[in-house]
Amino acid sequence: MQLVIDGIPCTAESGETILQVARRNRIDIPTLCHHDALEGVGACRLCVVAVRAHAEAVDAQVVASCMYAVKDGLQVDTATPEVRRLRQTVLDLLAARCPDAPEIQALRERMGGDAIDYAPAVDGSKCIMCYRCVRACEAIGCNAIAAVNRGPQKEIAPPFFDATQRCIGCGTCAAICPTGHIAVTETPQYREIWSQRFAMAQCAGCGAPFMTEATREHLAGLGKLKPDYFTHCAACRQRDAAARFVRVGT
Amino acid sequence: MRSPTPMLIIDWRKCIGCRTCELACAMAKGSPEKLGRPRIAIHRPDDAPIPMTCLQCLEAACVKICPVGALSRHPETGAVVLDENRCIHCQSCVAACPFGHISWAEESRTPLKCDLCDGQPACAKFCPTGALTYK
Ligand code: FES
Repeated sequence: MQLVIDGIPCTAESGETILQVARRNRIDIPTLCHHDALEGVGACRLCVVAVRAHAEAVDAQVVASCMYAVKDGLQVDTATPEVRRLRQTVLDLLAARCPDAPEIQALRERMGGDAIDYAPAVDGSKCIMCYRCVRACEAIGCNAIAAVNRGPQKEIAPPFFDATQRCIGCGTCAAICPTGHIAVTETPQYREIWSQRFAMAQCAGCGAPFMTEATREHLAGLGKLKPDYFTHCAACRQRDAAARFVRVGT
Repeated sequence: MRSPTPMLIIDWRKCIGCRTCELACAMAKGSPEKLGRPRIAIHRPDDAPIPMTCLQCLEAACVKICPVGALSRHPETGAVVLDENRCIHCQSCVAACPFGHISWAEESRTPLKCDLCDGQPACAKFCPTGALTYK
């Protein structure tokens, strides 16, 4: 099917989102919660665009481009004054909620609009409620964290803010967090995340900690690869493989 | 079976351990200002130098373990390549490669592996002895 984004004719498959088509055509739309591998949730609303059903239509509707499936003949504008104002509001509110998140400030500067500085939250966290961590945890198969409470009290946490068997301490939530909100403490013996302590697995070759014991059990338990895949750190495996290759060749 | 795409062939008996491949890789994967982290390394078991890098396994453990399909085979080069926009930074691939050919860049929180430089591997181009060839 055909659609027009910012005056540029684009070809798309049905089922694609406006964002996918725009990015393929190198049209920039800012996003925060979107991630190519994770199912869209439309949480941040930074990706809003104005759409009209066809070229002659006058009424424009504002939609989240990361969720909106393309339709034939759609006319998309990614930077109308209204769209810019809505994005600015999203960022101004996030900046007040997360005064310590430099990523939000950087985005605000990049947008270059008339920012309004609302009073920053006193107990502001760096969480922008993008759900990337929740969705990544789900993709891994653990489902250890979710949103709890409502309204301004809403936050991401494990059930009852307590230690949970579901969490394996892999740290993916922290790594995928766009603002560095999720705290991880690491020593050679353990990793602490979500107030839960996980023993580190030591490499059978060099003794270095290379993942949590629970992550190792999880990966081995997937049954995709033999459990003895997960005994050595990458550096030791490469060293051992080199020795094996040389022996085979002589 | 002959691979339908060219392969990076490592003939370690021809390797003199000069580490030109490491430098070529670091340059190919870096910027003019800063060298990148090489995806190839010279090892010396029993003192014999041998270049070690991803072999682009046909049934790759990294591809199997990735929970989000961020690793896939490039249709033209045959290399197993990472889609950085799909990566969720779980490090499963780093843990899974039986040869330890995927390393982890903490700064960018991404796995690093050889992608055959889109079909023009710098290591093979600069190897002075033919220990690394691409054909
Ligand atoms: S990127 Fe579309 S709502 Fe967040």
